[in-house]
This record gives sequence, structure tokens and C-alpha cells, in this order.
Amino acid sequence: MAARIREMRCELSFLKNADGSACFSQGSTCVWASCSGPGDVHASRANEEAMTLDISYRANCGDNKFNVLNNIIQSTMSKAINLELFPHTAITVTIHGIQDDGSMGAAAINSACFALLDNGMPFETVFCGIQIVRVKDELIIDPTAKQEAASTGKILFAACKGADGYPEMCSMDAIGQWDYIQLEAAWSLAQPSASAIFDFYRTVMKRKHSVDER
Amino acid sequence: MSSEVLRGIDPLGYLTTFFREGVFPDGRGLLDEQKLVFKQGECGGVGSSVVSTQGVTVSCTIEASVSLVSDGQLINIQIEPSQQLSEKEAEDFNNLLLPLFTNGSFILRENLRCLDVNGKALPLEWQFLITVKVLCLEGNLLDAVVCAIGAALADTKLPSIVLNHSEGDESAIEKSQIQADYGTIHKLILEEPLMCCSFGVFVDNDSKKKSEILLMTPDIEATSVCRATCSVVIGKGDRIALVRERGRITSFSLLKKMCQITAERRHKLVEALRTA
Repeated sequence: MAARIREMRCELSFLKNADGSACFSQGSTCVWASCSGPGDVHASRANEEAMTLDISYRANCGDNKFNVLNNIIQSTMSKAINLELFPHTAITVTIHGIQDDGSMGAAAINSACFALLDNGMPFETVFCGIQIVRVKDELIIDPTAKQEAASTGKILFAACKGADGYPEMCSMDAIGQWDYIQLEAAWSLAQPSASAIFDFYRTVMKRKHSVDER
Repeated sequence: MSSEVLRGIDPLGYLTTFFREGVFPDGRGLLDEQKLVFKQGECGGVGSSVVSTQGVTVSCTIEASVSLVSDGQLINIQIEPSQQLSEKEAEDFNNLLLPLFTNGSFILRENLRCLDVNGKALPLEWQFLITVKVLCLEGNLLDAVVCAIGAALADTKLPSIVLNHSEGDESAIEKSQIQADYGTIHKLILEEPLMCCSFGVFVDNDSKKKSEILLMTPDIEATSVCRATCSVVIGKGDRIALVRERGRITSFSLLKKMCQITAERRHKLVEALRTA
């Protein structure tokens, strides 16, 4: 098992015109995320009881009308944010894949969380994404594009921080030929990485809110 | 207060009382299977099916065309949006189902080669356009769509191809050199049938244990009060072909139970098809 995630980097408030934004990279995979809102929403899309989420993931190539990642990001965010705090409003989150060297799904989820944190949204729990692939019966966490291409199975976990501080599974997309034991092993492999990503969130936010000592 | 009023103003409270007793409001057990009805060959194309299960009815039609051998995608799936299914949701299901074809869970790529009258493989491949129409949507769509595609593929009958192009000829194959011979029909060689089951995970917040209750194929009303939902697709050798889980699950063992239930249901389907 390859149990290390690649080096993460993040720059907050990266885009001037968004309420919250982040430039996030995980190894050579790089994404930009921005969010604007809660703000006005068209009457046809307004929800009387909750905030409307508008998620759009845009890859760096191809048709970007719909993307399979939108569903998992939207679902994870709706569990992590108390949408009922902002009825009759909408928040727009746009994630641009800038450079794809594997684990794009995980990077997109992490960057979306950073953009929301930068925006100052009240969270119920923070969330993160971890991608795992299987290459020749070996589980690889945070794979590169080459490893992804050679894989026979792919899992994308979205984890959130549980009440006891340990990562809890929030969403999962698994595709390929798996058995239950492998899925369980993949989740066991993902948990320490999720904790490491949560620690990284803390470090970045601490840096953002620290008083400049120079 | 009548139960219908309670159901309208406090669906969570209404449903909780039933789930504590281990049943849905219609009297079905929480892990009881629902009837699956399918009919093949009624909707045109080279293969078709209509499937009805858990309040969802879908039709599936397969249209075939011939192409030269290439690395390109041979199967395209199109779930048509309807009043009950938005374009965004339909496209999401398309994206979800496509990997089941690319990784050969339904059918292997080599089994899509065109055959001549003697069953010999030609340098041509079948391309399929699978169109799914949603006729009624009162439950989980994925369960019905996976069954419908499997049934339509099993119903698919393809003609033999007559290719008037010698093997040694290096010139490109012309359209006029390809002819379909409907005198000899070939059936597709499929992988073992897939079974999809959807589950809901309900958490009883009023109980002391706050235990997670597993619901099999919950309807829309029951799904709305579930903390998590999960769709599991099981294929050959009881291997998991696809899992889509949404919402928080504290115990991973629930997933094991879902996989076991889906595998058991698949065995029943395989047995029913064998005896039919």
C-alpha cells in the first residue's frame, strides 16, 4: 500500500472578485476554486427553507456542461454546511481544473472547502477528498495521472470530521471490480490522510488569521 | 389528528414510528425486496426492455450501427430528461453508468465485433446507442436503469455482416462494401447480469443508542428523512462494480450488509433467468 499523499500547497483569497477563493495544488495537480454568496437568487431557483447550492466543476479540456464531480461536491457541501441558515439565497462555487496530474476529484473537493473557509461560511464540519486507486492489487492513495490510467478500480472518498474528531465518511464513489475487504482497506488507508488534510486546513487558516509579526 | 395530516406536517415523526417497528408505512419489511417486472423486445431497436420496480418504470432501447475497428467509445448511453428528471440529473446518471461499459461490467469490448454468417469476426465493430426513457419516477432510478440495460442487452439480436472486401486488400473499407444479412442472427455474449440495489440509512435521534437503521429501496418520502443513501451495483463473482454513497455513515459494516443483500438478490435473478 502506498499511504502518503503528495505535498499540498494553498493560497487563499487568490481571486480578487470572488468572496472566497483558493489556489490549491496536490503534487502537480492544481485547481482554482472560487465562491460567491450567499447572495440573491432568481425566484425560480429560490428555496424557502434553505440556501441553493450552485456547484460547477470545469475541467481544463473537453465539454464542461456537466461533470460527474459536481454531484459528489454538491452532496458533500450540503452535509457540511447548514443550508437552513441562509434561506432564499444562493452560493455559487466554481472549481477550475488547471493542471491534471491525477486525483483531480480529491483536489476539487479540498479546494472547494478552502474557498468556503476563505469566504467565512459557517461550517457544521469541514470536509476533504481522498482518491484511491488499485493497481495490480495494490492500493495507491492520491495517485498520479499515470497511476490512474493504469488502475483497475477507483474510489473517491469525501470525509468530514466526526464528533470525536476522527474522519467520518461523508460520500463515496467507487468504480471498478472491488470486494468489500478492499473497500474497507481503502477507507482505513484514507482515514490518516483525511486527518493530515484537516491538519493542513488548520495550518493554512492559522496563517491567514495570524497577525503579521514583521 | 389523522395520520395523513401527521404525515404532512411531521414526516420524520410519522415515519420514525414505522421504522422502529421494522416496517415501511405500506407494511413492507425494512429489508424486504420489491417486485421486479421486465418485458423484452417491445420498444423497437435491435434490443429493448421495459422494467418496473419500486415505483420506477423505464424503457430502454438499443440502436446499433457498424464502425471500423478503433479505440473509440463503442457504447453511448442517453437517459432522456423528463418532467420528473432534470437535464442535470439525467446527465449525472449518464456519467455514472458509462464506466460500467468502459470497464466491461455489462459486456466486453471484444464481444462487440461484427460477425459474418459463419460466426467469424470481421474488422468491424458494433456501436450502440442506448436510450433510456423514464416513464415513472417514484423511487430510485439507478436500480431500474441497470436492470433495464441488462435486459435490453440480453434481448439484442444482431444480423450477420457480409463484407465485400478481401483480407489482403489494404484500401479503406467503403460503406457500400458492408451489408447486413438478416438471415443469420447473432446474440450478444454478455457478462453475468448486474444487480443494483439502493438503500437508505435512517438514524433514530429519539432513541438512546441513536442506532443506524438500514432501509432497502426506500421511496422518495423515506429517502427524504434518511441521513445517508447508497446505491450498490454487484456483478460477476459478487464483485462490487459500482458504489455511490451520499451522506454520513459512521459504521462501515453497513456497507458490507448492503453488498451482501445486493449479492443475494443478484443470485435470485441469475437463478430466475436460468430457470426461465
